Amino acid sequence: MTTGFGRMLRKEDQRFVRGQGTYVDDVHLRGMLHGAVLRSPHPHARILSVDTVAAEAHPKVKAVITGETLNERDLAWMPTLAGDTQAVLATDKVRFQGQEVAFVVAEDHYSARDALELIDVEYEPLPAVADARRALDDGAPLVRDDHPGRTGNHIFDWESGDAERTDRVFRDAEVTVSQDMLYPRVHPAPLETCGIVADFNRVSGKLTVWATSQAPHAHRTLYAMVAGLPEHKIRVISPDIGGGFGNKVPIYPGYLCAIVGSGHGARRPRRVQRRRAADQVPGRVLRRVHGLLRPGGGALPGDRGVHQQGAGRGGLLLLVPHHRGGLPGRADGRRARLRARPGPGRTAHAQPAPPRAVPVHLPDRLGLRLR
Amino acid sequence: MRVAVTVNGTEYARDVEPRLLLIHFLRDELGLTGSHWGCDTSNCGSCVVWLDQRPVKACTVLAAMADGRSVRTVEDLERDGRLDPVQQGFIECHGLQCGFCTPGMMMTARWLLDRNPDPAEAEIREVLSGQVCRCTGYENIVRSVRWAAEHAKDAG
Repeated sequence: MTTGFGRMLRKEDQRFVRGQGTYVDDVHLRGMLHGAVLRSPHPHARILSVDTVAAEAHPKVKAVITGETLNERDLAWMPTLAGDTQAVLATDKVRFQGQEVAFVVAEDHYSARDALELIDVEYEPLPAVADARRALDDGAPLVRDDHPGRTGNHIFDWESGDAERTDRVFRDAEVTVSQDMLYPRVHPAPLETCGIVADFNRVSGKLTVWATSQAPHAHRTLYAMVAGLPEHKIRVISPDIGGGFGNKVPIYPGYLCAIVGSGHGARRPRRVQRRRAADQVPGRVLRRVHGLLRPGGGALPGDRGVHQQGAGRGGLLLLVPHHRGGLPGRADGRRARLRARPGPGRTAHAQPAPPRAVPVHLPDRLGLRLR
Repeated sequence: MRVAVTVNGTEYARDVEPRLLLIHFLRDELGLTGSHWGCDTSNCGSCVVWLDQRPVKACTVLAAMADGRSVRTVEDLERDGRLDPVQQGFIECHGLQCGFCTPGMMMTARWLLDRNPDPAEAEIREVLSGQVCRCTGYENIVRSVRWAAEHAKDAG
C-alpha cells in the first residue's frame, strides 16, 4: 500500500494471506464444550412455560440454562452500554424477535443445535410495535413493563449543541427546508460473527475469555459488574477480529451465557459463535432533517446546516455533526423503545445521512439543478 | 461414516457424521483453520476452497461429498517458501484489512488466473461476485488480482 508517507506494509498481512490468522473461532481449548442459543420467533409474547426435559436427556448435552436458572442466581438481566438493562435470557416475556430464551451446552455444536429443537417453549403472543413513532402513541403496547412505574415507551429526551445560535441562524435564513426521512435500521454485519470462548477456573477464581471484541476493557468492566468478580480476576483477550464496525463494542447475552456456563457444572470452557441471522432484525429509524441557506449567500448547496434528528433505536447515542459548513448545529431527539433488538453503535453510518439529505433535498425544493 | 479426502496433497481418512459440512471437516477434524466459517448460508464465500480444481463454498458441501476427491485450501497457496503471486498481490495492493474473507477471495482468484492469466477488471469482478468483503470496498481486491496477473513470475 502506498500513501503520502511512502509504502506501508501491514505486519498482520503475512499471517492473513497464509491462512494463519487466529480468530475467535480458531481458539480451541482442550475439553471445550459448545453453546447454542434458542431465540424467540415472536416480537412480543408472554412466556408461559419452558420445557427443557427432552433437551437435557440428549446424550451429548451437558446443561440447559433458562431465564429461570439465571434468575435464581440474580443473573437474568445485564447492563447495556446505553445505561439501560437488557435480559440475558428472557424470564417473563420476550420483547423482540430473536431474543435469547434458552442456552444449551453440549459436547459439540451440532449436538447443541439439535438440542435447541428439543426445547418446548409455550408463548402467548402480545401486540407488537415496529415503528418508533407509533411506539410513542397513547395505548401503544408497553415493551418494558419490567421497570416499575413505567407507563409508556418513551425513554428520554436529549439535545446537544448551541440551541440559541442555531435558532438565530435558522430564523435569519433566506430559505429553510424541512424533510422527514425514513431509512432502515442498521446493524453492522462484519464477515466474522460475534463469538466468545470462556474459561473460568474455579480454583483460582480467574475468568479468561477470548472474544471478538473491539472494546476488551469495557467488556472486562461489564463482566465484573454482572459476574461479581473483581476486574483483576478477569482477562479479556481480543484475538484477530474479522471486522467490527461498532457491533463488537457491546457485550451480548450469549457471551454471558458462555461465561455462566463455564462456571457451572462440568469444569470445561465454553464456546458460542453467533449465527448470521441473529443480527438481522429489521426496523426503521426516523430523522427529521433541516437545511438552510445563509442570508445573503448564494444558493449553494455547500452552505448548509444540520439541525435536528430524532432517532428510535436502543443502542448508543448517535454522534451528530455540530459544525458543518461553518454553521452551528444542534441535535435533539426523543428516544423511543420498540420491539427491535438492542443495537450497538454503527461506525460511520449514523453521521452521513442528514448531511447527504440536505444538499440533495434543499436544491430540489428551490428548483435548483446541481452541477 | 468413513470419509477419505486428499487435502493439499495429503490423504486424510476420518469417521464423521454424514451431515458434517466440509468446512467443519477441514477446520475441526484437520485443523486447517485458514478457511473461515462466515455466514453458514452460502452467501459470503469466506469458506471457499477448491474441490477437484473448482472453487466451492465449503459451508454448503458435505464432507461426505468430498470422499475420494481432492481439496485445496489457502494453506497450499504458498509453495516452497514462496508466496503465490495472488498472496503477494493482496499484500502489495492492500487487498485485505481484517483478513476474514481473504482466503476465499484468493482461492477464487487463483482459479481464475489459472484459466485466464490476464483477466480484465470486469471478469475479476464477475468471478468474485459470489463473495463478500466488508472492509475494502473490493477496489483493492481487484487491484490485487491484477497485480498477481502482472507479476505471475516474480512473487515470493
